[in-house]
Amino acid sequence: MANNIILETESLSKHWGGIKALNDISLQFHDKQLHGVVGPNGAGKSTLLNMLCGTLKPTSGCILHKGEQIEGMKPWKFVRRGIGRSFQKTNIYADVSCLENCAVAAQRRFAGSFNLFASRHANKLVREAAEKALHQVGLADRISTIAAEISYGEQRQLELAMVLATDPCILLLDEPMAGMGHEESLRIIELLNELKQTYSIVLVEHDMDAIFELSDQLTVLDNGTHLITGTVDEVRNDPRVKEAYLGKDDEEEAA
Amino acid sequence: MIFEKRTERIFLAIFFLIALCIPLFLEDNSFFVGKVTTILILAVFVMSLDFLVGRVGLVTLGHALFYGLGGYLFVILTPEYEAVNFWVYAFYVMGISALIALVIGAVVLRTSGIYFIMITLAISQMGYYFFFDSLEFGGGDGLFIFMKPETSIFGLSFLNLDNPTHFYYLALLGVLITLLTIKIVLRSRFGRIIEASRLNPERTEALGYNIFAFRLISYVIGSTLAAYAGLLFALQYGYVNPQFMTWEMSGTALVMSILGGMGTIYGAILGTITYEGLQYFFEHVSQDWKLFMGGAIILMVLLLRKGLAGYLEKLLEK
Repeated sequence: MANNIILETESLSKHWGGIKALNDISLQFHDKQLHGVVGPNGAGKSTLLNMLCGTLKPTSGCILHKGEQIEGMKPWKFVRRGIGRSFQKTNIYADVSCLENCAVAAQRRFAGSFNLFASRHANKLVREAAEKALHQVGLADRISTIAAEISYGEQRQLELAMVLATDPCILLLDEPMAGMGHEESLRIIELLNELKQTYSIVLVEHDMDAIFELSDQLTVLDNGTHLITGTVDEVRNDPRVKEAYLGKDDEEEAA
Repeated sequence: MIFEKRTERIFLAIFFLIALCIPLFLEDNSFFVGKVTTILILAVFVMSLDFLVGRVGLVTLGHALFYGLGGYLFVILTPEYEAVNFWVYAFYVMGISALIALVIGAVVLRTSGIYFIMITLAISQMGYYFFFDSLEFGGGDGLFIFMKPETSIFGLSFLNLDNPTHFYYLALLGVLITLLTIKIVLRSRFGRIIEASRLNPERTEALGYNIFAFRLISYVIGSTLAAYAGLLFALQYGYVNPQFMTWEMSGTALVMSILGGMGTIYGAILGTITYEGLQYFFEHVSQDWKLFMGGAIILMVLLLRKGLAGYLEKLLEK
């Protein structure tokens, strides 16, 4: 397994006034691995993800992308470095076609977006890349459908396709299976299994079965602190995790 | 095809056909030709606003600042008793307006929503009072244009700006160029990102685009077109004064754009014609025309949620 580090955090912290949303987190995300992040509500998972993609500025600590410090940069510069993200709440262009959704994502790679004259439909590469991304997530038959008219599960897939169309090297996925039915979830799991052959993935997810099945590395956060990082088995057998997280989860399931 | 909708093509075909013929039938009625010229100039202004508000998503209440600047810059730049070349000076006026829009845009675009509305209003009011209180620029009376510019290109002159019919066609050319400019920009790759930023700014930024830069360039384009409209208006009436840049001017243009169907661009032409037509009608019916005007606008906005263009589209699109 390739072991080069793509993205790394060094004692990353985010404080809101006196509240420590995240405290002293040091993690390493490797190439072609799926790195799961779990933790109870309020553990700081989304905060971590938002800092990794540049939308939140950390209070202290660094984010290193291929060894370079990037934590102060604007979000759109993160994307240009190949850090792509999906949102917890479906975040697409609802009023335009699925193809156009992905074309927006792909355009930056092939053609100058400050061109005021050339028709947006003229560039073949943009169209091909957008179509390819839709193929990858299994939406090939939805190319010209308006995004608002496809099912919720398909919209989640479209969201993934948009990230893929930006040609990322690392995917930050915030609960891609949230609100999905069982079958739709299975399709996404299958897809993620495929994607991790090519990309590095950071996955925040509540579906424990999915995350145990997919993760190469698993990090547990609790109350803003870093509890443990290890393989799925290591994490499962760790007494602190059982106490902080899994025990609680069992109770929830029982209730 | 840059005109995607059938309704749009039908309306524009009819509009340009009628507009081209108007002076032929009314050669001797120069008042009416002048009135229609003014409407065409306003349509340029309203289209530039419709582009910003309806397509870029920048609700500005200070657009008239650039309308006024277009007029003032022309008078300030030209020597008093010498006819300058129209095209050259139009280029200067638009160039300087673009630079001013770049600076103002870089400031106002740091805000959004209600703050953006307020700061654009504040800046245009600053412009208004600057010219109103300045002695060298004529204060409240403004400045006069003593010599109409000549319009030769490479020594060939087709247009005499003192001739109302010629000036009419210049205004109509302005409508055509503005329309084409906006439509081409909207269809372009730049337009794709502009559309995306309006529909979902957060998403667009997360796809790697610096929204600020896209909005700034759009702001400059819209403002420069408004300056051209202001320049034409000043030339038609031979003066410019602070009334060009009142917030009522911005507000009226906004109403015209909403009436026509916001963001449709061709609707801006429709809205301008309708508004001006209604005003002309009510002015001749009653002294309290503003009351009727207000009532008519409220009714139309209530009944036609997507404006006149939206209504036409409902009739004509399958």
